[in-house]
Amino acid sequence: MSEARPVPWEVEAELALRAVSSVSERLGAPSGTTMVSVKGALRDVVSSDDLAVESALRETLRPSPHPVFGEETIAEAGSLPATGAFWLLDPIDGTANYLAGIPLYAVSVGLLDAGIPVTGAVALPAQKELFFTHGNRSYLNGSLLAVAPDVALEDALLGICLSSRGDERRPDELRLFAALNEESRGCLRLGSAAVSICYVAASRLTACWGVSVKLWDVAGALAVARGAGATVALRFDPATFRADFLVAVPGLFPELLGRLATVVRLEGAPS
Amino acid sequence: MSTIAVFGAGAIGRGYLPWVFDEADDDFIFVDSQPALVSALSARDSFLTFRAAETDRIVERRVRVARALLSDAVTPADLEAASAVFVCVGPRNVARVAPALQALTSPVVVCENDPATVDLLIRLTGRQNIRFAVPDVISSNSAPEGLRKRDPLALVTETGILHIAEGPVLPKGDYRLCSPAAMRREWTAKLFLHNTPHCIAAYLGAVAGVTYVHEAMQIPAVEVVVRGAMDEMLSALKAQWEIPHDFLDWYASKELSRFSNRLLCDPVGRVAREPLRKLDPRGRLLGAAQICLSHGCVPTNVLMGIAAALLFDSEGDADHHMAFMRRAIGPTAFLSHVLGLKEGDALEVVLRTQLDGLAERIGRIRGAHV
Repeated sequence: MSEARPVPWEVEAELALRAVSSVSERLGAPSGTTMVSVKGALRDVVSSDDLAVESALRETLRPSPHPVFGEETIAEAGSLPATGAFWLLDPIDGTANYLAGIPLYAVSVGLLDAGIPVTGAVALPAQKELFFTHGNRSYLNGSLLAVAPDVALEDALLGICLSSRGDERRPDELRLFAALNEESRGCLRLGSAAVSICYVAASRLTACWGVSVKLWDVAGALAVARGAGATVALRFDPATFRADFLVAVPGLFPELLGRLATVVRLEGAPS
Repeated sequence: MSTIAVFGAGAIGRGYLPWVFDEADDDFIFVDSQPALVSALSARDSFLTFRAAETDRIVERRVRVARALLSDAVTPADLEAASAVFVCVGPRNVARVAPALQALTSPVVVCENDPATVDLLIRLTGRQNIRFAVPDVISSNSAPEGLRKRDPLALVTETGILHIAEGPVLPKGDYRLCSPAAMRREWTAKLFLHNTPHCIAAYLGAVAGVTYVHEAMQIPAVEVVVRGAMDEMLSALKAQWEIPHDFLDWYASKELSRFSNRLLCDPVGRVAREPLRKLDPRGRLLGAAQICLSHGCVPTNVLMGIAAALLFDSEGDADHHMAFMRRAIGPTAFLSHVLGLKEGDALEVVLRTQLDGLAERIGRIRGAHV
């Protein structure tokens, strides 16, 4: 009798899925006692739910030997490890949406290894959707995800994750946003990078890119997109935890990479 | 003389459809995604296929191969000679067939176990000349060793009936054209009086560790559940729809002997494959249970089948990730997110509260036979 073939990163994939699923129920709607604070010059909004969820995610990942970094605790670490695999958590990506009652927010857990998102899970609690990887594939609530091999730009629906206000590239980002909005079926800013990237994996969007986003926002979702057959490029700064990324159906990726080259910094990014 | 194009050279396409047409006059263009199978068919101008005429007699037929093509490479020109096109690739693969069908004018007959596949193909191709068919037949995707020695491409089917929705002319063959009402009746009976108990036999057979469905039916603990599920569905269908009861009784009466037919050598793995598809909310397991519950019956035997389906895990299966999901997200989230059951609905409550008990009963079947 032949032995079962090992599934790559299966233990980690199961932990990631268990983690996001277990907290998904509590995030069906903002709690009545959600407290909000505004941090720093970047006007990030953090809710008390973020803190509770991150704590729950960490608890589920406790059996993993890989270090865990979350938005609330990454400042203590100083920078990300230069080698080895590590976890990145985003307890609520799209906090502004969450607090406003807009159902486009996500819980994200991703594992990076050598700079590549190798496994991850993303829950969209309001939609009751679970995106996850298993082996080299990705699924949505059990259904296999497979992006189209190619979509022409004029037929593409695009997603954009803008940098924070004050970023030097912001004016160019907005110009590209306007141009690509006219040349495609439209360019959407959904307010959650994880949701946008998962929507590429689910073929709801054709492509999505982000400038100077927080790495923990995208790690899980980019793993899902890879498993769905999308082409993914990610480049991040381990000291600032900021990342640029592009994810697209394979046929459209080179064209978008060229168009975005002045704004999205992906030179040397593994894909 | 007709040339019939068949997408999907498997149990139905290669094993059953040749029996619908004329052995001497008709030939086939087979289109499949498996390179080895297409190569093997291309190397031959014919192959043998077999039918279990009764429970103790096999008859053979020689199938003439006009061409065999890989589905990725087929073009409309390749299919121009076809008088009709039959699609039997599995419901999940139907969308991939659409590009090849778009430019054709031949009638298309969809032999998938899901009427929604017809709507899908109509939408994807823009063609209207696409219709539903119900091959009421058990066809194996394998054959006993003795028959495979005679021909490696051999498959075994039983004597079935092909019901095709009325429409424009098709090549002459042994099939029944049905009105919409008749198709609904045949489809309902096939889905709930055949597919429901059949897949339950397969899932419990997988638990018991047997290879073929007929072996599962020889296990008393399995046979009693399958029979019980048949009775549950028969009662529910009589209450639910205005389908003549004598038709339903007649249909049900022949099923168990079909499952027990040793000549078919129908693998448990074939009938049980893709359990998430079989667990579709409107389908042969959950849909069946819903119908029973809506009439005040808790279908214990159908529920056993659902529980056994949830436990099915085969490494090569497309839904091999199901076990991974159940471990990761737990039963409550599995019922809601994967099976789409709303919390508090009758079936969700019944499954959530009874799954452990059902699993225990299933474990006794496993323990007795593995």
